[in-house]
Amino acid sequence: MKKVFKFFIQFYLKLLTKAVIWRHKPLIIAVAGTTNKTFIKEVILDELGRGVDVRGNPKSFNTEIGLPLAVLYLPSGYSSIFRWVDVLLTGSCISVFSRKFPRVLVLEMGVDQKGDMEYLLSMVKPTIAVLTTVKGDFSQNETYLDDIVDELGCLVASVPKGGAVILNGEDERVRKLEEKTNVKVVVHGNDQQCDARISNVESTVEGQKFSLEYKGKAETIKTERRGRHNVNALVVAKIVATQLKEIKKGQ
Amino acid sequence: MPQTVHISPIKEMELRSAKVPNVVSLAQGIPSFDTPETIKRRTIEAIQQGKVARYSLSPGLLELREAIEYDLAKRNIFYDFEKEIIVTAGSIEAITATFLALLQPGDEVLIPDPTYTSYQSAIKTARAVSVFVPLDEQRDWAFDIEQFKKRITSKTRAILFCNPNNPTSTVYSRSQLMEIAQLAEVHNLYVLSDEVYKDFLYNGQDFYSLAQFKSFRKRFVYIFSFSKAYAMTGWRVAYLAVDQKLADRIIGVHDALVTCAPVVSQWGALAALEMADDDVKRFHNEFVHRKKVMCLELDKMKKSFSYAKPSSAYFTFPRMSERLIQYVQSRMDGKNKYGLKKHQKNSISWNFALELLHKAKVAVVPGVAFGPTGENHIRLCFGRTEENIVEAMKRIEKFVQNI
Repeated sequence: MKKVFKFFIQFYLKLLTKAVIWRHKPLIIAVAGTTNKTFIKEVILDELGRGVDVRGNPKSFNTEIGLPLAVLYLPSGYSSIFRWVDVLLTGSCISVFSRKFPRVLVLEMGVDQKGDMEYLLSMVKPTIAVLTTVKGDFSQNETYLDDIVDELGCLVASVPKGGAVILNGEDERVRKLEEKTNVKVVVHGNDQQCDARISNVESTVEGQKFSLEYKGKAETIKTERRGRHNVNALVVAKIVATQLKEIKKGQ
Repeated sequence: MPQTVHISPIKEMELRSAKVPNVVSLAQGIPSFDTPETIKRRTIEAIQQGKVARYSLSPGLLELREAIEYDLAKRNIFYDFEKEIIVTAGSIEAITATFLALLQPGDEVLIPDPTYTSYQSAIKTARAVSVFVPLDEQRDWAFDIEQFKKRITSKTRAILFCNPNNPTSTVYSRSQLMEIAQLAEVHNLYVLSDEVYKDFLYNGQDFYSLAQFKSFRKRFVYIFSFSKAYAMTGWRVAYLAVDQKLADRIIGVHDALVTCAPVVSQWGALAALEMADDDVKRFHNEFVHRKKVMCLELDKMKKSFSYAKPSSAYFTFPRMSERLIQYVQSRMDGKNKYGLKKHQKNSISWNFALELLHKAKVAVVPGVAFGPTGENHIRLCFGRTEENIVEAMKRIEKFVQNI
């Protein structure tokens, strides 16, 4: 019974999501990878300016049910059938009657097994894809990371002409995804070949500071957050903001 | 010959009470609730998807550590999930692993008195020595930095405290935390803060953590457990967050002790962080109610107990009246009828707790278990069901009335 109910919710949410995206045609920025999706999404939202025009997933809603909820900006019904009924009714109203809808959606896309990305891409068509990293541990099966890379490859391949793919150059698996697309690719990382070059990453009492060279501009950036993934998040946000401007110019 | 590490007095009381028919227990600090449905459902999904059968990385699942970093950042606490967060098998494993990594045999650790009993066992396991620093009962168990200063010696290496404190519900103010930080800087001490009860504050007070003081991070260990906030005591999952250099030392001990925290519980913890905020609020509201119920009952026994109304956590820590103390002393006839250990048999609070257990059929924890200042007190847990609280308090009231 639970399985049937879950299938129904999933199917209905997919319909609502497709309808609302068809009506409003927002530009979609997808963030995918095994980790660092949420940090990157949050920093992109900060960079672009949260508000009526730009919206992201609440919490980390990013799966077959979470992603539609993120697009429709609805809470989860969790284990309550009554809450789900309420969610679906509200979702129907948003999907059919909403007049205001964000022009840009920044969406985490969570994949866990083969076929997940294809399903998510059947609802949303990203113009910009950000690939974070592919990491795992012994708790997953042996082919887990390869399966995830294949899934991320589907996302990269789906980005249409005029869009952009942003890759983490420090992750070999992610960097190789460049081969899957013909659209513009922006790679960030330490080495000289990267389009956005990161250097002098330093831990300080206040957090971290680092240098970024991108599009001929050099700057020093500080953050109170720790860890390289937070450096990457700040860099990605700057790249996304630049790419978004270029895409809008080209439209 | 190493010192013997005894089982915690709290667990000892539970073991003793298990042998007494029809007993009501307010001893162990367990919330009465079941783990929230959302957590159970997500964990079952992880089991069904084959995600729990193997070890995780020693510091824990990447997804969980990332969620922990995200959660901490909401409170302006910043740690790198890849290098500075370690998921542990309960907070006591986090504390024990830290001490085993950082202390030498004979080192001294300052702990507030009274405080959580198992800290003494963790310190002893590392062959170190607990040094009790009394809290001021006259000022609702307030912290006094001067008492800490007085007890620092050349062997002092660390301060460990629970914020809010179990069993006194003391919440450390920002200025008090600053004082601890300064003291630690001057004397080159590590500081461990166990913040397991941070979600249960009842007077709307501000809550600060030393983890928010950026300049202090190199000597600080932040500890949080999922046990109380999410009703997951049986899952044995907690974490510590610490500067990378310390993390590099602690992870080896953690690996040697447990390899990794139970992976099934790590998936539960991830679900807790992502989906159980409403459940924590529900538990909080219920504890507010249960606290009132317990305090109302205690207020009826003013001739027998005096106590400070708890402002956090889920314990009351009433002091026994002179009348009760005299009664217990009169019963201590040297025969040790309850089979107390050598270090317990002359304790008023141990003897009273066992009188309550055997005569009133109520299990409580003797105050001395939390440190010498806790003598002549008992700890009562209002995390248990309202029905249990009312019944236990009725039995205690009847017992003390008949003395």
